[in-house]
Amino acid sequence: MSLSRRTFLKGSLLTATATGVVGQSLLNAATLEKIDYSALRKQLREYYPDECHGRVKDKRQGDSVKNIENTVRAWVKANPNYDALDIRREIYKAIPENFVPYLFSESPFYFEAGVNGGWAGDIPAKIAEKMCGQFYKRKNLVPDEAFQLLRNRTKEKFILCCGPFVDKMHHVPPMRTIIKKGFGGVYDEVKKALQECPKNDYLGRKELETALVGLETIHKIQLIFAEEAKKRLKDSNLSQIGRKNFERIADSAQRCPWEAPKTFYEGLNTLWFVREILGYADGTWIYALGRPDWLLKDLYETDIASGRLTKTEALDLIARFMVVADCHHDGMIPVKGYADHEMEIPITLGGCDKFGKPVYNELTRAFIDMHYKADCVFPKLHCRIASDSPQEYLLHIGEMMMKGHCVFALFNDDRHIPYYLNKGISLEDAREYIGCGCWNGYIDSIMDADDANYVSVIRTLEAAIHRNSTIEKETKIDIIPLDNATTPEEVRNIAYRNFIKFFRSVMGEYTRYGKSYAQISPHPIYTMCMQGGIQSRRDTTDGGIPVRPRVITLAFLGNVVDSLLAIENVCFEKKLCSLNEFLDVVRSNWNGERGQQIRKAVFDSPYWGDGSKKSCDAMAWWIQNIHDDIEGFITDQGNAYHLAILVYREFLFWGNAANATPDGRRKGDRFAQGFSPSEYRCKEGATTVLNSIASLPHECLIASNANLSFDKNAMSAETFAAIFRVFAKKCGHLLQPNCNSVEELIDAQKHPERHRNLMVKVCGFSARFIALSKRWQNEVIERHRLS
Amino acid sequence: MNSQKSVILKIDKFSTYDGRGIRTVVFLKGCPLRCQWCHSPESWSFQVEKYPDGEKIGTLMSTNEVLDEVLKDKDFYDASNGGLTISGGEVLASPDFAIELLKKAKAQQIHTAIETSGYAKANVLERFLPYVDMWLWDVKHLDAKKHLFYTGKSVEPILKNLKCVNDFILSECNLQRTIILRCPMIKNVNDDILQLKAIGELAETLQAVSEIDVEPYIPFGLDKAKRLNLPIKEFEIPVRDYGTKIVAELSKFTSKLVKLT
Repeated sequence: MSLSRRTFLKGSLLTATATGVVGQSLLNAATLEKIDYSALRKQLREYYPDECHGRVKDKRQGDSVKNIENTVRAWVKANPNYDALDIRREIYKAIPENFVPYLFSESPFYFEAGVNGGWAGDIPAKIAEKMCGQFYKRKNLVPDEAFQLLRNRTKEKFILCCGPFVDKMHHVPPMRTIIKKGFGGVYDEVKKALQECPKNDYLGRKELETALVGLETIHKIQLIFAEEAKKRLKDSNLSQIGRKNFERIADSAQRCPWEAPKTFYEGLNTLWFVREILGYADGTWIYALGRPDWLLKDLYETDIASGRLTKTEALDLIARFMVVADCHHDGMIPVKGYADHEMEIPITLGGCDKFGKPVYNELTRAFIDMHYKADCVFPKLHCRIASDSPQEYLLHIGEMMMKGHCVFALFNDDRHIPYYLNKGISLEDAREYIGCGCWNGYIDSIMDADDANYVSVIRTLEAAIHRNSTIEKETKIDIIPLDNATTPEEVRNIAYRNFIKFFRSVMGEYTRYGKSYAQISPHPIYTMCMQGGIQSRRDTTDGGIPVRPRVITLAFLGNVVDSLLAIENVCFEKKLCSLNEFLDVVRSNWNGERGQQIRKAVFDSPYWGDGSKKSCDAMAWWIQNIHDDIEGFITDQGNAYHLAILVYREFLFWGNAANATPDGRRKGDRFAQGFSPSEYRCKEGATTVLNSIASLPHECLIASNANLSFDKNAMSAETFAAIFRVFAKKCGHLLQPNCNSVEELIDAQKHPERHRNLMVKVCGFSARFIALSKRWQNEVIERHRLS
Repeated sequence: MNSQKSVILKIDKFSTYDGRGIRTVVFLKGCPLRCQWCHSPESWSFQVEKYPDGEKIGTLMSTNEVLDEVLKDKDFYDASNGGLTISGGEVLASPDFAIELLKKAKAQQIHTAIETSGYAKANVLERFLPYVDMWLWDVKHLDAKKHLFYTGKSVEPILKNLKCVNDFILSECNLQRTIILRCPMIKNVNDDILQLKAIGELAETLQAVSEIDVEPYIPFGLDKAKRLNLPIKEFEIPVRDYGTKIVAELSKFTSKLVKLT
C-alpha cells in the first residue's frame, strides 16, 4: 500500500499552485553574481584541516584532548571498577578546564571545539573507546572469533559497518529540542526526573546524574566562548567586522543555547553549536545542521518585523553560516581515494511543515541562492520535495542545476512520510523529518537510526561462481554453487538462498553484539534531548529511546538482477550455451571469441532499468522476498530491521576488487549505484529508468536512492521541475541529479581554470569537478556519456 | 478499436527537442522526399530493412502497441506539458496509421505534435487537422527550383498545405494549436540572405506560426547512407557560432521568436 502525502494535505494545494515563474527577481543573472567571502575563508582555512578526516591545525586543540585523556586516565587508575558512564562523566568534568575556544573575527558564530571537520564527534569518542574498548574483552561481551569474523567479512567486501556490530556514527542533532527549550530547559527536566527517580533504579539515576554533569559542561563551554569574545575585544587592532562579531558573541554566549535562541542569529548559531559541542562532549558522531528554513522561520520573521535585522544582514549571516561548512576541509585538494571529500554537513530545506503546508519561504530561497553566491560545495543541500511542491521551488532547484551547481539531494516526502506513518510515527512528527548526512531521513529529536550497514548482494553471487574455499571458511559463508542448475528459477533460488542465509547471519551478529556499545560510549546528553530518553532513563545506546530502527542497505542489487536475467535469456531462452559453459566464460573474464560472443548476447538481454515488466518484476521479487524474510527479526534494542537500497562509493572500490559477473561486467568494473541501472547496460532515457523505479514495492524500504545524470543540452529548469515532480509522485526516496554536458566536462579537464564553479554529484557528496582525480573525473564523464 | 500497423523506425523517450516539454517521439519509416542532407536516410523506405551486417532497421507495430509505449511516460507529459510527437520518415505518407495513433493519443488527453515536410495531397493533410496540436513544419528551401533539386519534390504543395493548416487553426480559434517552422540550415544551400528573408516573410504571413527553429546541418546520415548505398551528399559542417549568426540574421525579417535548436 502506498500512502500519498496528498491524503493528509487537504487545502495545501492552494499554496502549491504552479506559477511557472522562477523566484521573483532572485534568479536573474544580475542578482546571482558570486559574493566574495575570501577574508572569512582565509581565516577558516588557516584553522581547519586540509583533508576532511584531518585534525584542525591549531595544536592547542590536540593538547587539550590529551589533557582530558590524562585526567580521565588518572581517575581510572584510582577507580578500577569504573563503567562506561563513569568514563563519560569524567570526560565531561575534565572538559571545561581544558577547553580551547576558537573564534574567527570574520565569523559571528561560536561553537568551534576542534572535532573532526566532516563528522563532528570523534575526539571524545576515541577517549571513551580507548578506556572502554576493553569492555568488549573484560566483560567478555564479544568473543574474539566474532570480531575476527566481522573483520574477515569486511575485508572480503561482503559487508561494511560503521563500527563493530553497530553504526556508531550516524546521529542527527536534536535541533528541535534545543531550539524550543535550550539545554537549560533539558537540564531542568532531567533534574526533575532525577528527583522522581526510584532510589533502586541505580542505572537510571546514574544516566540522569551523568547527563546533568554533561549539561553543566555544555553551559560552561558556552560561557567560555563569552569570555573569549570579551578577551578578543580588547585587541586594539581588531577590524570593524571583528568588533561587531565579538560583541555579538560576548552578549549572546551569556545566554544561548542554554536558553532557547531568541533571534535569528542565535538560532543559526544554535544549529552549529548543537552539532559540534554535543558531538564533542558526548562522543556522538553528529551529522546535519537541521532544517533552518522551518526551524528558524519564526525567529527570522520576528527579527525582520521588529527591524532588529535587515534582509541584507540575514543573507550575509546565512552565507557565513554556510561558508563555515564549506571550509571544514580544502575543497580544492584532489579527490583521489576512498573518502577524501565525504563530508557529512547537510542542511535540509523545503518539504512541508507539521501541518502539511509546503515550506518554500524567504529562508528557503536565501539558503539556496546564498549557497550559490558564496560559491559553496558544502553544506550539502538536502531539499525535500513532494508531488505537490510549489512549482516555483522545483524551478529554483532546476535553475541551479542548469548553472552547474549540482549540490542537491532531493528527499521525497511522498515516500518518507507514509513509511514513518506505517511504522507508528505520528503524522506531525513524520512531516518534520530531515535528511541525514548520508541518505536516510531521520526525525529530529525522535529517531536515532543505525543505518550505515551495507551488505553486498552481488558478492554472494560472485562467490557462487568464483569459488574460493579459504574465503568461504574465513567468512563462514556457506555457498551453494550455481553450476548444474537446470532452470532459471533454480539459479535464482540458489542465488537467493546463498544471500539470505548470509544476510540473516549478519543480522544475528549485529543483534547479539550490538548492545555492547552501550558499555563503550553512551551518550547521556544526547539521550536526554531525545523524545522518551528522560522517561526511560536509559541511554540511547541501551535502547533508551523508542524509535531506533536498524537499517541494512542492499548494495548492488541491480547487478544481481541483471546477472540472473542474462543467465535466463542466454542459457535458457536463446540457449546460446549451457549454464556451465556460461559460468566458465564468466570465470575466464569473458575471454576469447566465445567469451565475447556470449557477452554480446548478455548485453542484448533484459536488464534492470530497461522498463520491461520482466526486469521490474525481477527487482521487485528480490526486494519483496528479502523484506518478508527479515520481518520479525529484532535488533539488540528491540527495534525492527529495515531495508534500504543506496548509492555508496563502494560501487567503484568494491567493483574494482570483484571478479567478472554474469551481467557482462568484467573483473574490476564498477557496480551499479543504488537504484540506478548499471552504466554498462543502460541505453534508456531517464523516464524509462524512473518508470522502472516507480514499479517497485517502495513500502518495503526505509530509504532508496538513484544517481541520475542528465545531459545539459537536453535539459531546462522546467524539465527538471517535471522530473522532480514525477519522481516525487511515484519513484523512490531520494534522487541525486547531475547535470552537465560531456563537452563541458571534457573542456574542464583541459582548461580547469575556466570551470572552477562546475560542481558535480560524485556519490553522496558533491565536489568541484576540477578537484576530482582523473579517475573520478572520467567516471563522471562516463555517466554523462551514457545518460 | 482498430489497430493499424506501420513500420516504426524507433521510439525515442524523454525527448526535449521535438516540441514542448518531455515527449516521446515515434519515428515512422517511409518518406517521399530525398533530401540531400537527410540525417535519417534509413527511414526512406517504407519496409523493414537490414544493414549488410544484419542489423535490423524498423519493426512492424500496431497503433495499440505504439500507444502502450507512449502511455508509459504520461506522468512526465502531464508534469512538463509534453506529449507525443510523430516524426519520420514522413508522417503524412502514412496517414491511416498516424491518424489512428493521434486519435488514440488525444483520447488519452495527450498533447500531439507531428514533425513533417508538409508534402502530401491536400485531402490527406486535411484528415490530420483535427488531431494535431503542434505542427513542426520543415522549411527546406523556398526557391521552387532549388527545393526540387535538393529534395526531389516540389515546394508548391507544401506551401499550400502550410497555409491550409494556418487557416484551419485560425478558423477554429483554437489557441492551443500552433505551427513551428523548422529550418535545416546548410551552408551555401539555403542560408543566404534571400532565403532568410523569404523564411521571415513567410512566417509573417502565417498567424499560427509561433516560432522558427534554426537547425544547423549535422552529418548524421552519412554513415547510414553509406551502409545502405543511398545517395546523400556531404555538406560543409557549420562552425561553432554559425547557428547563432543565422538566428540573428533571420530575426531581422520576422517578429516571431527565432530559436537555435
